[in-house]
Amino acid sequence: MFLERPTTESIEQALVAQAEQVYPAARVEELRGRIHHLATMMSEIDRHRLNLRELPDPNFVYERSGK
Amino acid sequence: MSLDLTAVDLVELVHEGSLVPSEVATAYLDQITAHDDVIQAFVTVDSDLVQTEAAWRDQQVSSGVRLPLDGIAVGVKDNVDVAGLPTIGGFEPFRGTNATQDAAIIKALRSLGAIILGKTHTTPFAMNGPVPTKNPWNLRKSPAASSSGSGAAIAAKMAPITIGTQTGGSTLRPAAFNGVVGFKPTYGWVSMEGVIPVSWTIDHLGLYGSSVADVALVYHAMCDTQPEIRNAEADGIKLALITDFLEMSSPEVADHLRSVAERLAAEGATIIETSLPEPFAHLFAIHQLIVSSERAAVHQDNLAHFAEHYVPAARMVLEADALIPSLYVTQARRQRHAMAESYRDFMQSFDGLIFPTATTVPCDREQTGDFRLQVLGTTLGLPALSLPTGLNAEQLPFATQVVGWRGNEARLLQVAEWITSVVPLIGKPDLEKLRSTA
Repeated sequence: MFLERPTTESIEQALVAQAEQVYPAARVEELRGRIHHLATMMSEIDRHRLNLRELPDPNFVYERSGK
Repeated sequence: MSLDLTAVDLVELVHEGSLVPSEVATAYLDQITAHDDVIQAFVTVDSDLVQTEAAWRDQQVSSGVRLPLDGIAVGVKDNVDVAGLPTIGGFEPFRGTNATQDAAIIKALRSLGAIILGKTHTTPFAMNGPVPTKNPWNLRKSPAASSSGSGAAIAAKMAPITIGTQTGGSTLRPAAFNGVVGFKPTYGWVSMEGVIPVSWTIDHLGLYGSSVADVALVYHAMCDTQPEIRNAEADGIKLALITDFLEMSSPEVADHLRSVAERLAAEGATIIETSLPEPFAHLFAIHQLIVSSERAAVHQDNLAHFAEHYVPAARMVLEADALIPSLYVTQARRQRHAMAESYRDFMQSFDGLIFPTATTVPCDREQTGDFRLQVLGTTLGLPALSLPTGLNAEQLPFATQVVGWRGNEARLLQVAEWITSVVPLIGKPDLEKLRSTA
C-alpha cells in the first residue's frame, strides 16, 4: 500500500487483513461492504497523491476573507 | 397570533408593542400540542421552562430593552446542549441527564433575545438511522436527516427559526425535503462548543426559517453585522449552473432547476452553465475519509461501552471506519486544501454556484435521501442556502441550492433574496388535510 500505487482491490485486501486482526471472522464478513466503500475512497485519494513539495500543510485553514 | 408571521415580523411587532414574547411562545407551544402527535418534530418540550423564559423576556421588553431577536422562538436540534434539557442525540443511554450549560450558539441566541422552545428530533448521533419525524407535506415521505425535526418544525409552523447541523447534508437536505429555507454558513461561523460532534473539521451549525430574510436576521444578529439583503441588482448577478449536479439528479429535479435558471436569466442575471473545476469523485472521497476517520475517533470510547445501543448499521460503519490508515486521512486533508484553492480560483468569477439541493424530491420515508449534492459546501466550508422553489405534481418540494465563497455570506444572502423575488418560495402544507391521511 505504501511503496507502489495500489489498486482498489489490494487496498481492500489490506483493510480486510487488518480487520481480521481485530474482529471475529463473522464480523469481518459483515463489514466487507463498508470496507469496499472505504477502499474505493482510498483509491481515489491515491490517484491524486500530492508530492512532498506540494502544499505541505495538511491543516485546512478556514480564513474568513470575502471576495 | 398568526403562525404565518415571519421572524422579521415578530421582532418588529414585539418592538412596537403589538406582541409580547410570551404570546409568541404560547402560540408555538399550542401549535406543537395540536400537531406534533403526528409530525413528531420535537423530542423534548418543557412548557414551564419556555413560559418562564418568555415571562422574563416580557419583563425585559416592557422595561425598554430591545434586542435583535426579541420574540424569536427557536427549536434546537437535539445534539446541541440547552441547559435544563436533556441532549439525547437520538441515543437512548443519553436520556435522563440534563445539560448543565447552554451550547455556545444557544448562549448567543439567548443574549440576543431569543427564547428556546425545545429540542427537535435527530437521527442517532446525526448519523444514518431511524427518526420518528414525519414530512409535513406527505406522511409517507422522508423529512430527510439528520436535522429532521428542525426542518419539519418550520414546515409545520411550530417555530419561526430552528437550528440544525451539517456534516454531510444534514441542514440543507432536510430544508429541501421539508420545503423550507436552510442556511449553512461558512465553517466556523459560530463555535461548536456544546454540540455532540460528528467530524470536528467538517461539522457546521445551520439555520432554518421560512424566508431568506428570516435566516439572514438571525445570522447577522449573531455575527453583529447588518447589511441590507434587498439591494441586489439583477444585471450584477452572475451564477454558475453546475451541470455535473444536474446529471446526478432525477429528470424532474434537473428540469426544475433549469426552469429556475431560465427565469433568473430572463430577469437579467447571467447564468453560465459549467462543470465543476475538479472531479466530484475526488471531492467525495476527501469528504468520506475525513468524516469517517474523525467520526470513528469521536465514538471510539462510547462504542466500547454502549455498543448494543447503536443502530446496527451505524455500529458497522464505525467499526469499519476505525480501520482507515492515518496516511490516507492526512493525504485527504492535504488534498482538501489543494481543492479549496482550485475552487477559490473558479468561484472568483461568480456570485455563487446554483444547482439542486438534493438529487430527488422527498423519497419514501424508509430512506433519508442522497447527500452528495450537499457535500461541496460541507467539505470546503462554503456558505450554502437551500430555497424551496417549487412543488412537483405530487405536491412534493423542489429545492434550489446557492453556494458562495467562504466569508461571503452577505453577498450570498443578497443573491438568494433576489432569487426569491423572481421565483417565489412555496408556502406551507395544510396540516389539517395531512392529519386526515394519518
